[in-house]
Formats: sequence, C-alpha cells, structure tokens
Amino acid sequence: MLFSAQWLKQYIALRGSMSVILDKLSHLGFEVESVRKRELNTQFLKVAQILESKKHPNADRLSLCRVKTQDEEYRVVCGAKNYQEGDKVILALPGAELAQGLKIKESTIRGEASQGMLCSQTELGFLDSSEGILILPKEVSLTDDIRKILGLGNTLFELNITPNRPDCLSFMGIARELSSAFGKKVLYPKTNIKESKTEKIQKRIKIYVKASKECPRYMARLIQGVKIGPSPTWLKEALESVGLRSINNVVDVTNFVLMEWGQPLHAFDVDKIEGGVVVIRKASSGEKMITLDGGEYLLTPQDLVISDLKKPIALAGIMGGVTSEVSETAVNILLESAYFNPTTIRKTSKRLGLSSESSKRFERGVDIEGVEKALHRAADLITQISGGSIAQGYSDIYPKKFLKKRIALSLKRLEQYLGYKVSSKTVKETLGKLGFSCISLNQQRGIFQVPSFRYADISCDVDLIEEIARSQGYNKIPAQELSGQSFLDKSIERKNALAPKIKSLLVSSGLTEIVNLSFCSPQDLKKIGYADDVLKIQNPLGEENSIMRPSLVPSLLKTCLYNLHHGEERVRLFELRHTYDAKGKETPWLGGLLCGTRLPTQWAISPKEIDFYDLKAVMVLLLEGLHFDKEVQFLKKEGSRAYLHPVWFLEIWIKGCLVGYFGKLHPKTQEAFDIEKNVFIFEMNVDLLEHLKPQAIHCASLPKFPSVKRDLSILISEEMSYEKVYEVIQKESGGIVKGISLFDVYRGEPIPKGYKSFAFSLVYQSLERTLTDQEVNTAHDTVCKALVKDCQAQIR
Amino acid sequence: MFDALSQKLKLIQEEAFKELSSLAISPAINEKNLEELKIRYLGRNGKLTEVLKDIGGLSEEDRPKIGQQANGIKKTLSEKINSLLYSLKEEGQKKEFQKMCDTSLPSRTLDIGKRHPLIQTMEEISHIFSRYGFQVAEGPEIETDYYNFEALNIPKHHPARDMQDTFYISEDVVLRTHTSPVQIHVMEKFKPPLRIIVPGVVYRHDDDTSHSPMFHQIEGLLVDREVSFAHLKGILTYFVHEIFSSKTKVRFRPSFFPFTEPSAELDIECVLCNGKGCSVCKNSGWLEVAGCGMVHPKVFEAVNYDPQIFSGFAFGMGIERITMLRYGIDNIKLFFENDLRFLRQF
Repeated sequence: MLFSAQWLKQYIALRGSMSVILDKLSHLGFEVESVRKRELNTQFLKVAQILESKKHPNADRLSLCRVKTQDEEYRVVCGAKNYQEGDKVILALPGAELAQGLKIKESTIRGEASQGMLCSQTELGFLDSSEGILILPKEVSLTDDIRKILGLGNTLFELNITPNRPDCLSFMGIARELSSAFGKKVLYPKTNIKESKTEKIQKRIKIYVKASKECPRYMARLIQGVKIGPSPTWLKEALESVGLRSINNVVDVTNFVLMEWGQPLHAFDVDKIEGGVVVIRKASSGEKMITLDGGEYLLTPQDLVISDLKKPIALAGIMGGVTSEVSETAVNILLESAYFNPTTIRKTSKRLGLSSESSKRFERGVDIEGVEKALHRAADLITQISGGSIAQGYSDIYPKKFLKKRIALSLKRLEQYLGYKVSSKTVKETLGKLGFSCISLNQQRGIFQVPSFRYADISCDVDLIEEIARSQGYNKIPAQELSGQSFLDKSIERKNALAPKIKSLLVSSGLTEIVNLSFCSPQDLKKIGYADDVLKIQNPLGEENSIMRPSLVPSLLKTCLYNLHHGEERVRLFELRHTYDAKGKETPWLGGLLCGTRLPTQWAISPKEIDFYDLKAVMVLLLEGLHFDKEVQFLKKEGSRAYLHPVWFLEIWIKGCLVGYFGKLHPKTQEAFDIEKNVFIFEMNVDLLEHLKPQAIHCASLPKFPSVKRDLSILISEEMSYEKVYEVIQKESGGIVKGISLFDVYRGEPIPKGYKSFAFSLVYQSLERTLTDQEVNTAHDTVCKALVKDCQAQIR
Repeated sequence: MFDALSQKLKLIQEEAFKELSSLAISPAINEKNLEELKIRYLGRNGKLTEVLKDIGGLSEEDRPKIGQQANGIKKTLSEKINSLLYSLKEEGQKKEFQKMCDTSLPSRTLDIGKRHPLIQTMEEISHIFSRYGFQVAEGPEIETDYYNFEALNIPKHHPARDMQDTFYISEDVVLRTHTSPVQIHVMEKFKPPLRIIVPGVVYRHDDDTSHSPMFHQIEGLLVDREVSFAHLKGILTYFVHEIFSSKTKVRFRPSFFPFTEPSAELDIECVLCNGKGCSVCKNSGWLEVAGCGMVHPKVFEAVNYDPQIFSGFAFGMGIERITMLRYGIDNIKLFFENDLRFLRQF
C-alpha cells in the first residue's frame, strides 16, 4: 500500500528524518518497497494566471497565452487544450529544470516568441503520464507559497503489508505501530455528529440481514440533502497522493476513510433504492448485476449481495452496482459500514476475478469493532464537505457479538523460544503499547486481551511471542551456536545417488550441464513422435508451456539450436532432471547430445565432424565410469525411437533391462527442429540405473608373467560385423587372449569392393606362467583358422 | 704363443685408437660411425673377439693374463667411445636448445564441460548445512493441495495463498510452489529430533523480467527440544559467512509466513555496493536472501508432534537469487536459456 508521510503525520506527531521512520517500519515487519520524495527546484517556477488565450497564427494545435505572475506578464506558446482564461497554472521560466532532464529556454515556436512553459503533472515529475497542463484550484492566489501548493517536501512510500495485517492497510494502523515504537500518542480524529431532530433513518429505509453468518455486522446512516460536487483540494490531493482517483465529494470521503481506518464503506443513492428496503442476502442462482466498473456478472447462491426490493444494488464487500451509484444528481445518501465474512468475500472475488480496495481488506478481515467509528467519521466528513443533514439514529445489525480473545503466555516458553529472558514487566509494557491489555500476570504466566483490530492475526501464544520479539527488535535475539545430535536416518535415501557421478563423468567428456524449464508444448512432442498420454497444466503460461515434459529430447534440441544460432560451432550438452508421465510420476532422466566438430577449433588438429562413434565413446566412458561395463550390452532388440535414425542407433541394456538409447538424430526430426548440422543424442532412465546398482569393484592382482603381442590383419566382407569377428577371436584363443584391440579399419585400393580390412593387435598372456612361443603360435593359428572358417576371412 | 697373442692385442689396440683419434677430429664424426667402430672392434664378431678365439691354446696360467689384457683394451676403448658419444649428444642438444621455440602459440584444447551454476550453488549450500548434521531429503514436485498448503497452515480461501501464484494440474493437485511440503512428508515419517535440508525445483505462475515460472529453492528444517530463534540466527549467520564472506553483515527482520511464527526475513548487506545503496538493493543497502522462522504449532499439529514438547525452525531461500548475487548475474532468464557463452564461465 502507498502511504503519504504528510497524511500520516495527521495521526502521529513524528519528528526526525523520514529514513529513521522507514527503517523503524521495516524492523517492525513492514518492508519498504519504494520511497519517492516529491521535490523540485522552484527557483524558476511561478504560479500564474491565464489572462488571454488566442490561436497561434501559424499552427492549428497551438495557442498563444498571455499570463501574469505576482510581478510580471509573460507570453507563452501552449499546446494543451484543457484550460480556460482565468485558470491558475504553473509557469516554468527560462532556467527551470524539470522532470526527465527537461530544460526551459526562451524560444521561438513557429515564429512566435515563448517566454516559458505551462507545466503538466508529468513535466513536474508527479505522474508518469498526464493529459493537459496542471490546473490549480480556484482558491489558490498568485502570492501563495508554490512549495505548499505543489505539496513539495512530502514523501510517498510503499509498504509491503503481509496478508496477516489487514489492520495496517490503513494510516491508522501504521500510526498505531509507530506509536508503539516511538512512544508517541496516536491522534485520533474527532467526530462531531449532529443528527437531525426530525428525520429518522427508520422512516426512510428498512434494513434486513438475511445472511448473518456471511454478514455478522451491518451498519448504516442516512444523510439527506447533500450537494454532490468536486472534492476540496486537500481531499483530492490526499487521495491522489496514494494513487486513488478523485470522483466526487461523497465517494471521495468513503475512500478517504477507507485509507484512514482500513474500513471499506459504501454510499448508495437512496432515491434509486426501490421499495425503501435494503436486504443483505445470498444471491439467487442466475441473478445478474452490473458493477460500477461496467462489468456484468452472473451470480450464484455463494455470493453475498446488498439488494433492494427487486434487485442487487451491490456485490457485498467488493463493488457497488451502477443502479444506485452516487452520481451528480444524488441528494440523499445511505452510507454503509459492515463486517463481511472474509471467506465469502474471497470466494466471490476469486470466482469473478474482481478485486477492489474493499475486497482486499474484507477478505483479510477488518476490525469488527471499528465498523462504527468509520461510519461516524465518514458521516461527519460528508456533512462538513457536501452539506446535508444526518438523519436521527443509525442502523446496527450485530446479532452475535464477537467473543473477546484472551491468550495465555508462559514466560518460560517465551524465553525458550527467543533464547533470551524477558521480564514480566517488559512483557506487559511491550504488549500494552501494541494494544494488548493485561488481564493477569505473575512471574510464570500472563493472560492478555487481544485488541479487536488484531483478531485476524493473533490466535495463540506464539503470536504473542512474535509481537514481543518484533517490538523488542530481532537484533536483540542472540545468535547461538547449534549443538546437539544430528539427524541421520538411513531410510532417507537420496533418490539420485548416481547423479553426481554421472555429472562428473559427462563434464569430463566435455559436456556442459544445462537446466531447462520442466514444461513443453504439444507441437514439440509431435516433432519427436511422442504419442503417449501427458500431464497437462490447467492454467499454463501459454500452450508452448502447457505440458509437464515426458521427455528431455525437445528441450535438448531447442537448446542445441539456440546455441548454433548464437554462433557456437560445437555443442555438447546434458541434462539430468525429472520427466513426468500422465499420472504425475516423476522419473529422474538423463539426456544429452553432441553436435559440430569433434574437438574445439585449434591450430594443431584439423577439424573433423563428429560421428556415431564419438557418441558411443561418451556412452562407454560413462557406463565404464559407473562400473556397469561388464553388464552393459548395446543391442538393437526393440527397434529405434521415432526421433532416432532407424539404423544409426543402439539400445543400452543392463542385466536384461532396457535403460536407454543413443544414436544419430533422425533426419526428419533434425529438419523439424531446423537444425542444419548432424546431431548425436542419448537418453537414459536414471531411476533404472539406480535400481540396477553398479557392480562392486573387485581389484584383480597384476599379472606376474610377461605378455606376447601378435598383430593380425584380415580381409572380410562388409556384411561381417566387428562383433562377430571379436567373438570368434575370444572363443578360439584358448583363453589366453587378454587383449584385443582393433587398430585399423581400411577400405579402398587394393582391397576389392564389398570388403574391408581389420587390423588387430592381440595380447597373449597367462596368469600362471610364462607362455612359450609354441603355445602362442598354436593359439594364434587356431584363431586365424577359425576366422577363415567362421568369418570367411582372408589372412593378410 | 702367449707373446704372439699379446702382441696381436697390442696391435689391435694401437689400430683402434689411431682410427678413433682420426675419427674424433674428423668433421664426419657421428653416432653411427662411432657405433660401427665399436662393433668392428668390440662386437660379437669384432677384431678383439677374433683374437681371443685362439685363447684355448694357452696354458692355464696365461689365459687370465691375456683375458685381463683384452678386458683392459675393451674398457678403455668403450670408455673413450662413450665419452665421444656423450659429447656428440651434448653438442646436438646445445644446437637444439638454440633453435627458436614459440612457446606463445596457443595450447591444444582439451575439452571439458561445465556444471550449471544453479546446481553448483545448490550442492554447495547442501554441503554447508551437512556440516551441522542436516541430511538431504527430497520430495515430489507434483504435490497435493494438502501438502503444499493446508498442512502448512495455509487453508483454502486464505489470502496467504495470494503470496504464491499456483499452477494447477487438477483442483487438488498442484506444481509445488515451495519446497516446504517436504517438511510435512519427512515429519509424517520420522519422529524428532530431525535436521533436513531440502533442495528442489518449485513453480509459480509468474513470468516477467525478474521471475521465472520454474525456479529452485533450498529449505531447512530442524525439530528438537528447546530449539530457539537464537539457534536459527546462529546457523543462518554461519551460512551467510560461508557462502558470501565472513565479513558480510546480516540482519533479521519480522515478516509473515503462515507456517512459521515468529517469522523473519534474512537480509544481508548488499554485496554489490557494500551497504552504500545501489539499484540492486533499491538504495536500502540490504538484500533479502531467505525467509525463516520458528515452526508454527499448527504445522506440528498436522503431523502429530506435540508443540508443547518440541520446537523447531525452518528456513527457505531461492537458489537463483543467491547465485545471482554471488556471481553478479543481472538476469534470471540466463539460467534457463543455457547459452554456452554464459555457462562456460562457471
């Protein structure tokens, strides 16, 4: 809420600088969101009166004005249209420096000399935008102090009032808080109601509350013979200073009192109330009404309305209806002050999407005992400003008084909560300043009565503890070292124990960790051929964010594209986050991709595009690093995923479980995501990996006997896979091959078409003894023969 | 026989040394012809071995004498050759050392990825609290209204719900708006004393220049007998000193959260202007970094803890904000754009 220091000071005599006051407020729990001091250098600003205004001879939209200040007459060119001759305005003379660096100089505009400028509110820096120039109130004289007229020196500040403090959505609430802090009295405004001797409210209007649960208290006064017109300057300025628009002298008073006491009020034009009755009831199903803002609403029996004999005339606690609006023609006014049930107001306000200064306060809970004060205060102000007379008596339907709230506080608990001792005397004084009266008190415990304006917030002893802590200042609480036992329960197992290992292995393979939003769009899922049911958000931020992503693939591809567009030549990414299925099950998932050159651009190595085997390398490194290597199988059993290349892909199987996929991106998917380079992508179910538990490490002893190396080069058909050749070597070597490494694959001259050459380096070794040449030769021969037989290989 | 052999050895010695001396001063000297010379005289089929073939015809007493003589020749000759070889190498190295070496050429580039700054900060914070025995706990992101709100003393139709704009999956299922529901899950399962730290993803229906609809929080909860606000101040002050600097000032300011009472905001002295006032701290000199407070008795009641026996504190903070302050990042959107030029800096 926006506050004006000048207005606030009517209720509490504060001296000292504003920064001290604001600092105090923030230490009381009212965060200062912004501070704006209304200030201007007035050396070159004058109050002036427009004596004459003529059309500019050379410009249709401009006028030539003759204006006079206290001392002199000036000629100025003006572009505004909102003034009349005789109006008083602010004249900026050459030398003036206004908002946004605007400097005034003597100038010639379309051939006419202009000796200054007539200012708008925007140019003075009071408003962000305004129409026309600022017209001063008629009662202003040319000799008045310009600083006073413009309200300079005032400070406007915005406080973040937390939802538990509806009482502080008012000047009085903040004045009470400051009074407790600075020990100054609150200066409550005095009301002086003069009721008519002849007119009685009951004669003119009958009020019935038919929903007392929703409306525990309803009060009203009748004011007759008012003269509706513009509000006096002080009232207009006060409202404008806190961001409210002035409407007329009656509505402005209700808003003024709303800001002053935090009690929403409403004024009805009595002559538009049909049947002379006001009924507070639940709306009937299908009932409609048009509110003051022009909106038409269809009501339900959950909504509370104020109605006359025939129709609703206000949406209780939220907004009045157009039919009984206090317009210029109104003469007789019914003034309402009430307490509505917070939940009722909130439900209707939420359902209709209609919120107002009133509903904001009612739904948080207003002071049920303050209803009366606000009513009298407003009635008094209306008659002072708009004339008219207050009918005798007032209506107050308050069938079930609120129970007084009393709370017991143990001083031992207070000390234990805050970590320091507070004496019973201090407790009493501190709570007393905040309006809590002491019912009883000894060294152990006290009973305190909660002031009615705090009913919404204070309900148990810890609330009192907070009041004391807050009032004493949180700085007073010592900082104490934590001791005692730690909590280590093995059954709180971290879900992703593997995650840190996975991440460090991928980072060392050159992949960078990314974090994408958990949302995706139906279009993106279509692009990757995802066809299962998905988890939809009811109120998403646009369709592109409407689904909780069931796959990491679309966001990976989009991130890749984003980086390629920003000039990256190689993109290597991974993401380990949750995916969500249609039932809301969350599964930690790993996804990643490689795109661009194999190594960063550098002078000593010529750049090469990555291929499938680069991706396979990352997969092998990752699975080996996790110690799954002995159990991993790369197979093509189930078939590719829709977004993967139908041939260049593999499935990752561990202990008979399909845990993931990797491969080249399908050309169609690549096109659908507008990616021009080849992309190699992988994904794995981390939850499954976690369950499969990596192998325990058994450290093998180092070989004691020497190994023998033999090279082997074969020529085989393109149809023959490496895997088959590998198996034959492994099987036929009599168990003494300890290493098989493929060091060359060659195609082309002199190899005939349809064939390829594999060159292996085989390591023979026994753990028990030194192998003889004879043994190695026999094993090597057996391998060669088997390759010829089983793989139709030619030994080269 | 003995004399003849001895004489032959002498001649070989003279010949070898003569040849070596002329080679030593010749410009043609290199490792190869030195090795050749060595082999020619001392190799398996060298001249010296050739002479020693006849040693069998000597008497028992003479054999060692000739052997000694031959070894003497072998030793002096190979020493000489080795020393020549050594000086050749030295010279070679000297020449090598005088060549121009451009050490200013850029390095080869090894490839290493980077960890996302948010996740790094989150792990670091968990680690700091683990020193005080806080154990990491996690919970679901897709949460029921009960755990996200009601059990945390935020009833339906309560204005406090406006503090957290919510994404709904259905009327009763939401994307959690904070990590606090994990407090309830853990307290339902375990009895006090307990200390947990809860990192996680949260969602709010909010998307503008300073908000992201998805962000990260980390939450702490401690429940025990006789826990006070003073303990909360102690641990959070320690935390700030660890994650920012031991000189960073802190202050606690009253605030409101439905699930704590008393509640507080933790402010740190602005790390960008050192408290002098700047645009980031809105000229206040302070930055809000965490919300905290003593666990509300109603929350304990929801999990069947006796609020007369146990007390506790809870705190929560936004990882994005802390990370932004630590590294001087001015735009929250950078975290989720995943621009490699940004990520590479961490």
